[in-house]
Amino acid sequence: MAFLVLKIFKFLLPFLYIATSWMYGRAFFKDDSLAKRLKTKFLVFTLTFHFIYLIIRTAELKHPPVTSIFELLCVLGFSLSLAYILIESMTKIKNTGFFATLISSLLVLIAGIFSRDVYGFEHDVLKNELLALHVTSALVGYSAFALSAIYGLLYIMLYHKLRTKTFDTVYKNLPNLETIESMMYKSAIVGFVALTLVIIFGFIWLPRAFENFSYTDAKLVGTFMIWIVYAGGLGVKKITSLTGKKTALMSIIGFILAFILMAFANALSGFHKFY
Amino acid sequence: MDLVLIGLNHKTASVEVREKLYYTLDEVEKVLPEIVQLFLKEGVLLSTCNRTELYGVFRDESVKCEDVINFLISGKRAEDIVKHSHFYIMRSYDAVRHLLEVASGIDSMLIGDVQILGQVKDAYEVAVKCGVVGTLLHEVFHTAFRTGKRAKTETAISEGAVSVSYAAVELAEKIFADISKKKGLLIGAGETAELTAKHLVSRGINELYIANRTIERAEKLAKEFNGKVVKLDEIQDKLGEVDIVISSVAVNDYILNFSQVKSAMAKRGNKPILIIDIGVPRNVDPKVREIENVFLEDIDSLEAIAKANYERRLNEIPKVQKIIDEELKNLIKWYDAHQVAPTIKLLRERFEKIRQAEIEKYRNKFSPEDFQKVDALTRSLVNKLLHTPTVSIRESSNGKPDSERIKFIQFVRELFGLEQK
Repeated sequence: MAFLVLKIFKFLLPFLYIATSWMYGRAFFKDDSLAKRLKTKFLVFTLTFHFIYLIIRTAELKHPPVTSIFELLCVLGFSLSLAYILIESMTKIKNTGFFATLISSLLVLIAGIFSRDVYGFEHDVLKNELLALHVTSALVGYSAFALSAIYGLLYIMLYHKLRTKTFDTVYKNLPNLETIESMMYKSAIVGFVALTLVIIFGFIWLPRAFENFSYTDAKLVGTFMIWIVYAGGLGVKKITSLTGKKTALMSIIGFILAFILMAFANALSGFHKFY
Repeated sequence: MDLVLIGLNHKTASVEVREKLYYTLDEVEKVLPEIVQLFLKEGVLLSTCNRTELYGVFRDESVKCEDVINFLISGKRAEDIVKHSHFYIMRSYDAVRHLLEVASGIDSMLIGDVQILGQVKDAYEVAVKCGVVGTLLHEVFHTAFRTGKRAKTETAISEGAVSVSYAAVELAEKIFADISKKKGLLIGAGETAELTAKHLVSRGINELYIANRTIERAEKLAKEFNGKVVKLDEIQDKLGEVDIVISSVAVNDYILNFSQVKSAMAKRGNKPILIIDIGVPRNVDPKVREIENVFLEDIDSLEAIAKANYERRLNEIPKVQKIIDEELKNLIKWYDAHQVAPTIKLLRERFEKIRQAEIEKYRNKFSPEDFQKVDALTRSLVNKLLHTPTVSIRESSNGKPDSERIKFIQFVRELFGLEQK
């Protein structure tokens, strides 16, 4: 019975995210007043639904939803939208949830298609409290990088609209350049700090947990490369007080690089691979 | 409803006509008691640069609208310019609806004008001061204030800059998070440029530099805006420091060329700069736009922003109309409640309820036959007691104006505790 409920939740979840994203899109691009009124309520509902799903799933399958890459993607989708809604409630930036919820929709959809509902731990090494810290940091880190890239994208959009004198609905709904840039920078910092923690926890836990541990594993190298990319970007910005369009581009490129590196690393990894 | 509106506005009369019939608040204070004494029971005179409207209740049936119009015209000695055809006359709920439209800004020349609600309030307060506001106008005008406030907060009817100078400020606020941390430079003078500078100052701009060919003019503006005068040849230096430049000079050559701005950008660490060029011919080389983090906008941009905002306001009108419908409905409800019949009904119901509650307490102390007698006795007692009040309430509507009746009925309602919770 509970397993059936789980299946229904899993099936509905992507649709809820897509519907939420569609509403944010209507509000952002079309100024639709109904969507404007309902979008945040819808997102709260979707997040609550997602949270209940995660709880039921953990209780039923007897393991936290972090034991495979697809389970993680599902939680990443949740944490990204959660981070967005916190920002929405704390700042005046209200109309930019389209991109966050869109990425969440994609992540949850992929997770919904590929993740398997297996009882118990498939890998005994994952029964470890350091895993929780390692994985939580990774979730925070990648959510923050995604948000930073979203702000980068918004910056480019507004920059372009200002330069081409396109004063349309999207222009009206965007916050100002300075605010976007500051959010973009803060997100990148949060992501970078979290990724540093991921690496530290990983270095403590991984050698102890895995017999076939290797420092040259693709995922370790990949993660370290992402860390270097962001360290370099943030360093360059700090030293040369780089500002404006270039930093926005850097944030977007950083995230795309991280995405590609992680995709390759997951495919090539030896011991650090859980599907 | 006895309410009458006699007025003219920008839709029925040209500015030459409107200015002739414009009453300042001081003038209203003098003329309104006179108008009321001659024609009205109560009245409010609303006069702005776009309208002069008299809201009131006629003293009696012998008062003619034409006489009131004649009085308004002759009071201003405007017989040659202002004609009767410039006026419109509305009655009852049409007049109320019009006032609600005025207060919410959708009857304004510039839709969503924020000033009008304040002007309506001022007009009302002057009338209160003159002692010529009765119960009816009190309720009608408070409905108008509420409608205006709701329109402003619940819809986007007054959102967005619709003038060119405000559009410039809005543009600056789309780039910078906090104007009070930014510096500005005003090159030259001109109406739009000065107005923009004024708005930036009112937004608390950190520093404003002013450059002008005639130094006296620069000094005068600096004094007005609490700014600092710079010489024209110092502009290049200042460019590295300021974030917003407004240029409006009548010259044939560019004041700012590509290399000047390029080197200024290097000096300012490539931080974004907004340059608003409203000079004709243009003061800033359009090629400057190609430099990264430089936002060069001209009068066309500002006009496009103002136009887009105005169109958005126009789209909000149906929402405002909906609020007006709601408020008008509430007013009608209030008005109906102060009619004679419902009040008498309420009064009787109230007494009957008390009577029933009281005799119910003694039901067991009487035999059924005695109880019937007590029931009849109390019923007749209540009827007798209510006879005179009922007649008085009924008579309150006989040939008397709304205001007096409403006042009386309000008194009755309070006296007998008839207000519905």
